[in-house]
Amino acid sequence: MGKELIRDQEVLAGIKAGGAKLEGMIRHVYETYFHFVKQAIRKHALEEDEGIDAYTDSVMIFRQQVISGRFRGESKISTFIYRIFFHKCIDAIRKNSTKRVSYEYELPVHLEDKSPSIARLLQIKEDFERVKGFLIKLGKPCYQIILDSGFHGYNMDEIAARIGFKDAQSVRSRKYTCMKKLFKMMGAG
Amino acid sequence: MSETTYETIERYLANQLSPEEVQAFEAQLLSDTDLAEQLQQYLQAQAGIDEIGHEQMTTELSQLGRELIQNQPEAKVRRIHWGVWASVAAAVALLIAVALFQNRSVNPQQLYAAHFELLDPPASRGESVADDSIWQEGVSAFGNADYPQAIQQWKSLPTESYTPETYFYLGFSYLMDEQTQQAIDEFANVSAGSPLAARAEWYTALAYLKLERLTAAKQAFQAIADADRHYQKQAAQEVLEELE
Repeated sequence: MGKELIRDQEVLAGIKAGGAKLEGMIRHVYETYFHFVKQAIRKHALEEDEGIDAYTDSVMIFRQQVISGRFRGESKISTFIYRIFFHKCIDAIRKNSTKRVSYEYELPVHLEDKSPSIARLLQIKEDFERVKGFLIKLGKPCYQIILDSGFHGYNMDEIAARIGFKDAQSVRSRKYTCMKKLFKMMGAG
Repeated sequence: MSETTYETIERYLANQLSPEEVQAFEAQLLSDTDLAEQLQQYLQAQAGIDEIGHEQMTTELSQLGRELIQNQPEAKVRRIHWGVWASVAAAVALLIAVALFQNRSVNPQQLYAAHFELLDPPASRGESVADDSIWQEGVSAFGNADYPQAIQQWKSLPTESYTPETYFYLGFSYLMDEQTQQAIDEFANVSAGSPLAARAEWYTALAYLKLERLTAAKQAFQAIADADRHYQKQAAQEVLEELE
């Protein structure tokens, strides 16, 4: 994706389309607003890694907000990402501060963390790790089919082209077989 | 789990079932514990898939970020005459001496960022005005973090109609738009008796920090720390300790 101007609505439509369009748009957004990182490193004396991590988290939050329909272009994408990034930078600065200030900052209301209790969080994390382990054990092409379809939003035709399968139906059948194996592992584990 | 059940669960979660199909599926969920368990298993698997996909994408994007940082154009090195080098060396030595003398280890920008809070848009202009549409346009722009637009809207209002809210939020918009001296000038117009006066004082002090005018910043923070009652009294004391 070149540096041509892409309107916000086109970006949002591309993200919601999933698959290659989603990946391309996220990469486009990441590169387009990356100057936030350079400004933050310069202005707030952040380490490069801190700035990059804060920015990456911000773009991932933006991605999720668009996919879930919670962000529909009510504000400009640049300002939406900047608000998240700004709060993340403040968080990084406060963690680095030698004199810890006990202020609480708040993400915008619709991005508030609605996590459950610590104990429940630990349980959820344990469940995630189990499923992740099983997915890795499944190996290719199951791992790629499941991720391409379940996370990246590629359709069956795109996945067939990506992994060299005959057609969408072959991918669909293989995906079912892979998911059955995964469910069996989860049931046995 | 049969292939049919699997596909039905997938389509249900993707909102691809018709209303009648949804009704039938949900009715079946209530009576069929096996189906309910299979749905739960699917959701658990999906959560793990989301987690691993998220990790993968975060790693890829972070790597892209590192490449973008490394690909910044290098500053050009120019040949400088030997005599100029000597002047530069002397100036650097002087600066080091001044810095050591002042024992200045605080980073004002870092201090500014650590104490700065983004504000929500104003709820009102403080008093009812016959034609409030321009004010509301500015409020809407402010809410979208489009500070230049907010400034443009509010500056188009006749100055005789300005309230303390107008001056304060104009000042804040200038601060966000990196026009820090203008911000200070607007904050100065917020009347002392206004409910926003304390906030104006706080953000004025922060603005001086941002401009690295440390003497003015210290005076401003000291005035807040010395006040009988100020919502940022403790914060001002902490900033002063950092600045000392």
